[in-house]
Amino acid sequence: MPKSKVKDPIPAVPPARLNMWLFMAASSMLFAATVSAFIVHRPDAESRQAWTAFDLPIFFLYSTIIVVLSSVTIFYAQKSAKSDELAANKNFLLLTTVLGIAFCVSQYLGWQQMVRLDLTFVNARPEDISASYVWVITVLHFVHILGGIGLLIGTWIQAIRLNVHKKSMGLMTLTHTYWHFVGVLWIFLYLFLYFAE
Amino acid sequence: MSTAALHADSHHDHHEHKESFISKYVFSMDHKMISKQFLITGIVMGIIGMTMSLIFRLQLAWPDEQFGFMETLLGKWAVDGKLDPNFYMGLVTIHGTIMVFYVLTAGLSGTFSNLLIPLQVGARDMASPFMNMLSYWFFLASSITLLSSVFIETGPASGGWTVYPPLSALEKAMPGSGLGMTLWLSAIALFIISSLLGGINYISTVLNMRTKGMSMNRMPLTIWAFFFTAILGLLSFPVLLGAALFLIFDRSFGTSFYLSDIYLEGVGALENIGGSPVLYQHLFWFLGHPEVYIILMPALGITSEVISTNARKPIFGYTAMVISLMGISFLSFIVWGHHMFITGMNPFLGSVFMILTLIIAVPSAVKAFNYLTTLWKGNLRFTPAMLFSIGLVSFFISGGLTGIYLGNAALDIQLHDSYFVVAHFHLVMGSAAIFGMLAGIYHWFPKMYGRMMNNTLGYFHFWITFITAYLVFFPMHFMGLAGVPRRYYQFTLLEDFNVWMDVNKLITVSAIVGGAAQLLFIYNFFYSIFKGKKATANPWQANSLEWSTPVERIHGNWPGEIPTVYRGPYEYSRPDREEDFFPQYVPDDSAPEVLHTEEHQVAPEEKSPEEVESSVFFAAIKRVFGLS
Repeated sequence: MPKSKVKDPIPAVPPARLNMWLFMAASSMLFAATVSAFIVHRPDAESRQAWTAFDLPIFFLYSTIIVVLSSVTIFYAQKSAKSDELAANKNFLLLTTVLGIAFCVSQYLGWQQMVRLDLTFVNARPEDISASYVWVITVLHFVHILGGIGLLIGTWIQAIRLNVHKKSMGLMTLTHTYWHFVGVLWIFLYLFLYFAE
Repeated sequence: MSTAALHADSHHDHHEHKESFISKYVFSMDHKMISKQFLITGIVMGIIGMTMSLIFRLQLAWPDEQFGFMETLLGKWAVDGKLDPNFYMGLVTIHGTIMVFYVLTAGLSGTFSNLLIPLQVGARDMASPFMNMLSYWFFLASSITLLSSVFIETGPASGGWTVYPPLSALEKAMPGSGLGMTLWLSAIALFIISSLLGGINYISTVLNMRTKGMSMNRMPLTIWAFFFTAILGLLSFPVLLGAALFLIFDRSFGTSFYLSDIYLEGVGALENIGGSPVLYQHLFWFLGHPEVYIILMPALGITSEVISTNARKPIFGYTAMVISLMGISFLSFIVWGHHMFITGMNPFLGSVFMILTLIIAVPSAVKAFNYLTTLWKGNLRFTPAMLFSIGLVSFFISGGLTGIYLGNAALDIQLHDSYFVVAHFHLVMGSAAIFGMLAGIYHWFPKMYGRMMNNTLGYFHFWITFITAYLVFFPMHFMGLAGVPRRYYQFTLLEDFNVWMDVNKLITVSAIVGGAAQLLFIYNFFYSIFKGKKATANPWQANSLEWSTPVERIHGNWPGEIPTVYRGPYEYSRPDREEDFFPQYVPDDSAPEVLHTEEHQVAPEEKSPEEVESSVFFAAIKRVFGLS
């Protein structure tokens, strides 16, 4: 088929971007399920004295601050790519990646703190089932963050190869969208767990 | 994601690359080949699932008989030709799992969404062909994982396809809750990934890759059905993943999400406290109910297309059909509690679920009436596909009626877990969806393989299957009303149920005859792939875009430009036309567009890439609502 002579209609939205939005919708449903399970389970377990509320580790608050910062940096990474400021773009991508890794470290320290308080994943005491939920929710989110860091590193490598600029924003936009998603997701989860616990 | 993204961006440049055997038949990224892979895997899984049901039907009809061949087939699970009770439970569980997920979700939606979405909306392929390929391979891996559990020492998962804890969570509860259950959970996790990858692609392609002139209100009803099905899957499968994760944690890590206060083997309570087994049911049925429509809606879409084409009439109430699909999809998310009336749910909540459930009868009835009114006074062409579609309508009505009974909380308390339920869902969801799938196979076989299936064999296949399906499932209503419980290995041991022995035998004999009829289909299918009569480009004189492609498969679907769409898909027997069909892709300046379409006859002007990029968001919104 002589491809060059054929002009196909251009999709209104780049397919990869739409796929990313759909993936985020599916992923949100996973968190909706875990959070709903938490909400439904709590009164039931409380009525049997099998639920203890506890203070979230302070490191989770630090994680939240880091996530907010990284949202700012990824915003500037996107903005600089759009205006062809390639050096700034690379630096902001790198900075976001570092903040992403800092988030992971902070989460790890938060989990350590929970372990020290005997709030382990498998309940040390039967009444600590609420801790199991905190573990599931934070670890599932952590997995999403790892995916985000993978995307950030991939985009950064592409930026070094001069493949990220005004006319080639596909990957950059995906990373930008996804990183905001995991950021907002974490802020929601943190606030939910903060007020619920 | 990024690989897929890069690939999606560049795949349009690869149409004419040379295909090796591996890239054409094995790791294919062509949606048509992937649909065949789904179909053939689905058929194989279907044969296995059906064979399992025949084995346990033999046990139910002749509980004291010894079947020598069973020992040959099943070894230690049928010593002296008598089926082992644990394996009976395993067969029931795996039969349900295979049929619900592997045949009627992946085999039906996977096959026809893949085949028809790009062909009917006018796209060269899916939004991401790479993700599409992954979707199939995750599905195959999942199928193999599930089937492997049949061959292990402790047998497959055997707590029913819903795998309720604590039965499924404790290894000691029954043999099947050991490794078999672990394999089941792994298989389902893989299946969920496959179904999400596929679903994302289906939605994305429908929203975003339609050809010029193909506004949403010109889409065939098949596409609407696949679209809503994919949305249901996208929103409900992650919840099942959550449910499965909690179950995995309870089983393998020792958490107490679902487990509490359990005494096992009389040695005292387990350590798990505070868990809620009903929580699992909530999470499971939040998928489980939409899943019913994930199974049924593609079949309904296929039926709409086949009935309209073969009645040579526009589908009755196109917009009503779309709105009722939308209504069914929406309602399916808020009725899951009707599976749980007897869990001790608050009766007030139960009545809310009951009312919502009964409301589903409205859009369902709209669909049923629209099928009947489309058939009314049509120039009916009884192709095998048409017969199977009419069969679907029959099952949809007879099975749907009992749904109204079961949706009533007060009645459900009596009927729950009885054969009445088995009868209900095997008709409305099992037989109806299978008939939709078979209709689809007979109808689009020429598109898939470029050859025709044998009609005579098709007619035998239809009539035998149709009659035996009713003979199998109809009597079960009466058994259920009399209180006969489902899933029992040998319920005739209870004195009261002995009277059902003869009915049981009738059901089993009918099932065997019905099963044998499927051999006709399988022979017809595989024989026709190689030796069938060569098909013409548009053998059914249908309107939709897929019939404008060449008979020989091309990667990229159309040799030249993608055709432009000028009107809706169901313009049959227009009085102003000589021919009784008017394809969507045929321009005609003299004919006003009278049916289902807006006044715009000319396709909308093409936008420049800059313009497109600048209004991406609005364009997406507009496309969603078909305003473009």
